[in-house]
Amino acid sequence: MNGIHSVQFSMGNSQLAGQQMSTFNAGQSQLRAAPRVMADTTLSGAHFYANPSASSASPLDAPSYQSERARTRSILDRYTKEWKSRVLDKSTEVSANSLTTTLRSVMGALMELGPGAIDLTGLPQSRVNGHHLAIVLRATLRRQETTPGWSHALEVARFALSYDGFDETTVLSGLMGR
Amino acid sequence: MSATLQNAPLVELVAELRWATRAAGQAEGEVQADAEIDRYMDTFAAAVAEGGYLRSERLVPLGAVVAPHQFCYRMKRLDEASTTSLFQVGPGVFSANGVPPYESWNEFTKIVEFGLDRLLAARPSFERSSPITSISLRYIDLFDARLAEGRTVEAFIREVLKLNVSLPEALTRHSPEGATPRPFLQFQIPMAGGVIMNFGVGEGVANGQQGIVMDMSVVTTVETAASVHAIMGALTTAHEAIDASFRALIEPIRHLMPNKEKSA
Repeated sequence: MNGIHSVQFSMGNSQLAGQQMSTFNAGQSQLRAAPRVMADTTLSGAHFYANPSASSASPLDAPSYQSERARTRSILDRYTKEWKSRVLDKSTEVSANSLTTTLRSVMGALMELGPGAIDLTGLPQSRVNGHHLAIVLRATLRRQETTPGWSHALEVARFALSYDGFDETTVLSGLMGR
Repeated sequence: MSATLQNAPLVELVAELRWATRAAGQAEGEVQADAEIDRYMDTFAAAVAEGGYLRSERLVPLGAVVAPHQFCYRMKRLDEASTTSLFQVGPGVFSANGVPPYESWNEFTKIVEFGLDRLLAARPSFERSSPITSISLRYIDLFDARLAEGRTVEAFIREVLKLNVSLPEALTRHSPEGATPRPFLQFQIPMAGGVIMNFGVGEGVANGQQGIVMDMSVVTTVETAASVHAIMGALTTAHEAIDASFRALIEPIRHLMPNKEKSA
């Protein structure tokens, strides 16, 4: 089965359930006490392990979530390094193949990690390659509301292209005025 | 759009989000709740009061050390008896919680949107544009004896949820004749787009009632832009995944939970 899982059994002896919980590794383990919220819900198996109230437990505190997040972070960093190194290099070749390489990294991140995978905040205008940033903006055009820094990045691309002597209205055609 | 079920086993529905807070960078992972973070929570409390959430409870004593992502305030409606939703905030954390009588997902989203709108405007200036690092949507359900049709947790898991797990003789050899193992199962299931589904089921108690507790959540692992639109998009995706899985899982007892006439 695809996915981390944890299976526990009790033989009708609650103390045994508690002991078995020490091997528990995948779920809602709660390392800090939090006040009950609305419902008072207890999972019998989890009761002896940690927090007695399932309602106050957040899946965001689970070690398994933290490890998955770290794994995602490393994938995201790899994609980001790929496309950003090309966007933040004025000498990156502007050709169909080169632009496709940038596009592939961006699309890979979006496909694998969803709309939040591209963060366009804080791009230093002085280092931006306007053509490659334009490709990133096109790839995220339909997701601009969920892409941090999209509008500002459009301005950055416009200034970078203009500064480098290109006609920004042509390169950014279809993106401006949105 | 899926219809709301009669007799739904929902105990609690929780939409939670977190963002990096200045507190998170402090030594030992804890900070004194500073004036600016307190101010943001006060601002939020005042803002949601306009929507009827007039009762604000402080969850940690004044002056106490507050950890990042620890809830400090809870905002409820004045009439607690009829409370079906509340908000909680703390440094880098927000939740909207709902309990029955749950009308529909659409009704709950209105509450969440209301809270999010106020939250994003109230966050401390140094965090206002910070992306949301984690979003979680969680459903806690309790199947009582009637909904479980008298099944044991082991039978429920096997016959209704269609999860088949068996113990080897190495473990059952210690069990007396006729004793039935009581399982407690948890799964972490990767989904597309950097999202995870968590699923847990086992015996439990909710509001004093014994039964089979099922805990399903969908959580993001990639940052989300700090906009109501983006956050609600993530929550909607999570809801659709949980709703589809839940309906498929409960199919064998679906006759006990007919659709409500009003669609959700």
